[in-house]
Amino acid sequence: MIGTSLLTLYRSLTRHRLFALLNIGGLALGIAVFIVLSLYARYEMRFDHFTGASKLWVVEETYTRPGDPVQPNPNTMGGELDQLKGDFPDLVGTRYKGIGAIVRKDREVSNEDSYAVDPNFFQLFQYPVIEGNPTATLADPDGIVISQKMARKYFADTSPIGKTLDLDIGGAVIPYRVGAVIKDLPKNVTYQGDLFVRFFRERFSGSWYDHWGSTEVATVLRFSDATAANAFAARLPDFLQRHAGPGHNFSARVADMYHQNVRPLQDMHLTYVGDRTMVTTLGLVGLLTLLIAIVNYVNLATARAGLRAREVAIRKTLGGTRRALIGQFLFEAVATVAIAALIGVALAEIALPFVNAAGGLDLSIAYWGKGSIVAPLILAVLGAGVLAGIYPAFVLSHFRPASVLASARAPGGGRSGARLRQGLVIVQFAIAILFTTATAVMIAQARHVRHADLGFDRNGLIVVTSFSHGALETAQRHAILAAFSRLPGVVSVASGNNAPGSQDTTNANTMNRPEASERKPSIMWVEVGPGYFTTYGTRLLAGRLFDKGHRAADDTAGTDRHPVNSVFNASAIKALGFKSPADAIGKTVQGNGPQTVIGVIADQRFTSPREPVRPTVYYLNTQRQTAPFASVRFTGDAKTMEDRLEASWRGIAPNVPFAARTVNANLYDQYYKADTQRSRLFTIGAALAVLIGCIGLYGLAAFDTSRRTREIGIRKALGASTRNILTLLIGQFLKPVLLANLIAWPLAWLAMRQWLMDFDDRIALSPAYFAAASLLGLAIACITIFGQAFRVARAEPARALRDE
Amino acid sequence: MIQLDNISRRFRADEVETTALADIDLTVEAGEFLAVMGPSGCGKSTLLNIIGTIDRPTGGIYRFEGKDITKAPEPQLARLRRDRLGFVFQSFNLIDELTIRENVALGLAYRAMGTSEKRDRVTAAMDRVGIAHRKNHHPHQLSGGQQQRAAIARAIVGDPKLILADEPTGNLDTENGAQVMNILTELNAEGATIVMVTHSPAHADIAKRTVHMLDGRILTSARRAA
Repeated sequence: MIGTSLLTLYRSLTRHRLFALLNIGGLALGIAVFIVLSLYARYEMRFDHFTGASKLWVVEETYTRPGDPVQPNPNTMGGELDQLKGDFPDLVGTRYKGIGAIVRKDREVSNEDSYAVDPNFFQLFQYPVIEGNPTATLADPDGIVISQKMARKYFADTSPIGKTLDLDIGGAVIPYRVGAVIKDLPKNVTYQGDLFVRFFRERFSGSWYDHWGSTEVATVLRFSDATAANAFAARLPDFLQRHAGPGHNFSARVADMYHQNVRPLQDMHLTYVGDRTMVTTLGLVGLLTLLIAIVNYVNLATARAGLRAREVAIRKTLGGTRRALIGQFLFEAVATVAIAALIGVALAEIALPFVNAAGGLDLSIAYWGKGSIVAPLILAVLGAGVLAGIYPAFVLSHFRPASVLASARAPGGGRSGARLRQGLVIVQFAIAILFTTATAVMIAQARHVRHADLGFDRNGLIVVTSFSHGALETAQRHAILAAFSRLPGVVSVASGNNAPGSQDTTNANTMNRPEASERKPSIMWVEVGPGYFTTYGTRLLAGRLFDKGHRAADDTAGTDRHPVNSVFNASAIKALGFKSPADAIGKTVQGNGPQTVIGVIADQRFTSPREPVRPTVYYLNTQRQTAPFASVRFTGDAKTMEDRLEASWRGIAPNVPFAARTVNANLYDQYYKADTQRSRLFTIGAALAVLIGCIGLYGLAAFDTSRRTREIGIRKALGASTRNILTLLIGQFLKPVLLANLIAWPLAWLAMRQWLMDFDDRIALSPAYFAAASLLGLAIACITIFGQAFRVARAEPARALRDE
Repeated sequence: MIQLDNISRRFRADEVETTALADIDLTVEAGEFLAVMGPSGCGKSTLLNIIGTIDRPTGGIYRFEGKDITKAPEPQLARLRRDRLGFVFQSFNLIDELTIRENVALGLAYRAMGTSEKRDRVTAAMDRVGIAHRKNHHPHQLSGGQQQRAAIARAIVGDPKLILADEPTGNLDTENGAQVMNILTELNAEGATIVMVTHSPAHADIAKRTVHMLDGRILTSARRAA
C-alpha cells in the first residue's frame, strides 16, 4: 500500500506541478527558515556548554544607590576570592582578568587577547587541550598557555612547548615559557582568550586589589548544584558586612547600597531581558514561519480534496478502511514534508554563509555526532507532516463513496472546509502582519539609535583606544596629543577617561547638596583634558565649560584645592534635585569634597541605548587622567585620518600597537551590532514568512478561481464587467487579510511595547507602523491574487461555460 | 447470498425528504446474474450501493451470506468489500495518476498478500479481460472499452463472489458494450454472482433474472426462460 501511496503522490506532484511547486516550495522555505533560526536560537542559548560549565557561577555586584546602573557587573575586586576562601574554606573558585599584553616578536608588536588567571582556571574551565598541561603550566609564575591560533602565528608548524614568548605588560617585558596549547575557543564561550598567564597581585594588580566595589577581575566559583550556589549566595550579605562594612570601603550597612549575587555561567551571555526575549522571539519566528507553511499545506490539500474524492471512493469500494485512508494521507503529508525538508536543508546550507555574514555568527549544520540535525529534523518532519496531514486526512477519508460516485461534480469540502481555510488565512496573515509591524518598529529603532542626538557630534570623531595602554608614559601621551593636533585635517584633540563605546572606567561617588542632605545619588566622575568638550561638540545647557581663561582655576592636576570646579551633566543636576541647569550654576555640591558647579552640559550617551545615561561629573586634569582615551575631531576621510594618526603614533610609541576607530564604528560594535544583526535576522525571517503566506494565498486563489470559472462565465453572461468580477474575487480574498489586522495589531502593540521598554533611548510606538504594515500586507495580498483574478475575470464567458 | 428485507433509503436535504427506496424485498442466490432495470431516478443505483455496502439503508434488514450486516461497523464492511465484492462503474472510475497495471493492482492494495502473488493475480486479471498489452498506459490513453475492461480487471483481481456493475456499458459503443457483457457472462459462468444495473433491454436479456423498478419499488421480477 505504501508503494501505491508513494506512486500516487509522485504522479500527483508531477501532474499538478504548480500545486507541487507551491506546496513543497512553501514548506521548503518554511523549513529552511525554521532550521536557520533554530540554529541561531540554539547557538545563543547554548553559550558556555563545555565540560563542567554547568557547575560554575560568576560573582556579580550591584550598587543600589540612585543613579547607579541597574545591570549587575559581573566583576569583583581582585582580592575577593582570597577573603571568600578565608570564610568559606571549602570554596573552589578562580579569577580571570584582562591584561592587554603586547606580544613582542623580533621587531613586531601585537596586541593579543590576553588574560591573567589563577592556576586552577583550566580545572574549572575545562577547555579542550591540544598539548601540555595548562594547570601545571600556570603553577609557574612565568608559564603561559596559548591557543592554537597563537601557536600557529608565533611558532608556525613547530611545537611551541618550552619556547618563549615575550609579553609587554604595562611597559615591563616578561619572557613567558609556553607550557600548554588549548584548542581555539568557539565564539559561544564567554571567557575567551588566546594567552593565559598566572594571576598574582604583584604583577597584575595594585591598590584596587582590596577595594570593595571595584571591578578588576571576574571571580568564578564552582558549586555542586544550584542549591549549593543559592545557599552560598544567601550568606553573602553577612560576609560583605563583615569584610566591606565600616572600617573598609563602606561606612554604613553595606546592603543599603551594595550587594553581590552569583549567576550561573551559562546564563551570562544573554543578561539583558531584552536580549533573551529577542533570541526567543527569533526562535518563535522560525516556528511560526514553519506553521505558516504547514497551514498552506492544509489549505491547499483541503481545497483540492474534491479532486481526490473519486480516488477515495474507489479505494473505499475496494475495501480500504477509513483508518487505512487516513494512514495513506498522513503518509503522503509526511513524505511531502520530507521532500520539502531535504530542499529546506539545502536552502539553509545556501543561506547560512549569508546569515553568518549578516549576523556575525558561525552557524553550521551538523549532520553527524553531537548536535546533529538529523534526529531533530526527522522528528520535525514527522511532527510537521502529521500536523499538516491530519485535517486533510480526516476530510478526505470522510467522503462517502456512494454520493461521490453518483455525483458528476467533485465535492468541494463544504462550507466548514471553506470557513476553516479562511480562518487559517486569517491566522497566516495575522502572523505576517505582526512580523511586518515588528520589523518596521525594529528598523525604526535601529535607525533611531544610529542617528539620534547623543548629546555630542558623533560624526568626524575618532577614538584612539590604545592611548590608555599601561605601557605609555604620561610624557608620551602629551607628545602624541601634540603630534595629532598638528596633522592636516585634525580640528581638535583631547583626552579623557571616557569615550563613546569605550567607557572602561565607571568610578562614582555619592554626592549631595548641603541644603538637601537626604539626597545622595551616585554620580560617576570622569577626568578630562583640555579641549574635551570642544572636541566632542558637547551642548552646554548653562554656565561655562572648562576653558583657557579659567584653566588655572579649573585644573585639578597636582592640587588638593577645594572646592573643585566641576561640570555636571543634566542627569546629575536632576538627581541632585536642582530645579534647572541654570539654578545649579555657582552652587556647591558635596562629594569627596566640596565642588562648585561651573557648567551643565546635555547628557552624552557613550554607552548602550538600553541603559540610562548615568549622572556624571567632569573634572579637568591637564596632566594625567586615569586610563585615558584620545579623541580626535577631524575632517575628510576616516581611513586616511587613521593612517595619519598611526604613522604619527609609531614615531612616538613604537612599542605599543596603535588602535583607533571612529566613534560610529566603536558604538556600533559595542552597543548596536547585536541588535542590528538580530533585527536583520528578524527581517529576513519575517519577509520569508510573508512570502510563504503569499504562496499559500496564491495557491488558494489559483484553485478557487479555476473552480469558479463556470460561475464567473454565468456572471459575465448576465452582464458583470471584468472590474465587477475582479472586485468580487479580490474582495473575497482580502476579507481574511483585513480581519487578520484585528488579531495582529494588539499582539504587535504588546510585543513591541515590551521590546522597546528595554531601551532607555527609544522611539515612540506610533500607529503609523501598524498602518504601514497593514497596508503593505493588503498590497502584497492584492498583488498575489490579482494575476489569477484578472485572468479569470477577462476570460470569454462562452469559453468558461464550454469548459464546464 | 443476498437477502434484503423491507429495505428503505430516505435522503434528507434541509426540509425536504426524498424516498429513494421503499420496502424492497429482494433475494439474490449465489451464482445468479441479476439485471436491475428502470427509468432514471427509480433507485437502481441506490439499491446497488446498498448491496455493495457503500451506502446504508435507513430501514429494513440486509443479510449477506446469512449474516445481518445492516448495522455492521464500517471496518467490517470494508473487509467484506475487500474480500467478497467487486465493483464496475459506468464511468470506469480509474485513477488518472496510475497506470492500468497499477489501477488493477489497487484491487489488492488492502489485502495481506505476497508481492509475487499480487503480481501474478494482476497479470491474470488483465489477461482475462484482454488489457495486458496496455498495462503501462494511463487511463486517458485508452478507449472507453479498454478503460471499462481495465475496471473489470480491477473488480475481479481479488476473486470476488459478488460483482456489482452499475451500467457497465452505459458509456460504451455497441461493440465494446458487447465485449464487456461477454466478460460478465463468462465470469458468471465461472461462478461469480452478478448484479447489474442497466438501461439496455438487450443486455438485461443476457442476465438470468431481471427486476424492474419504479419510484423506489420493485415492480416485477422475471427469470429468463431456459
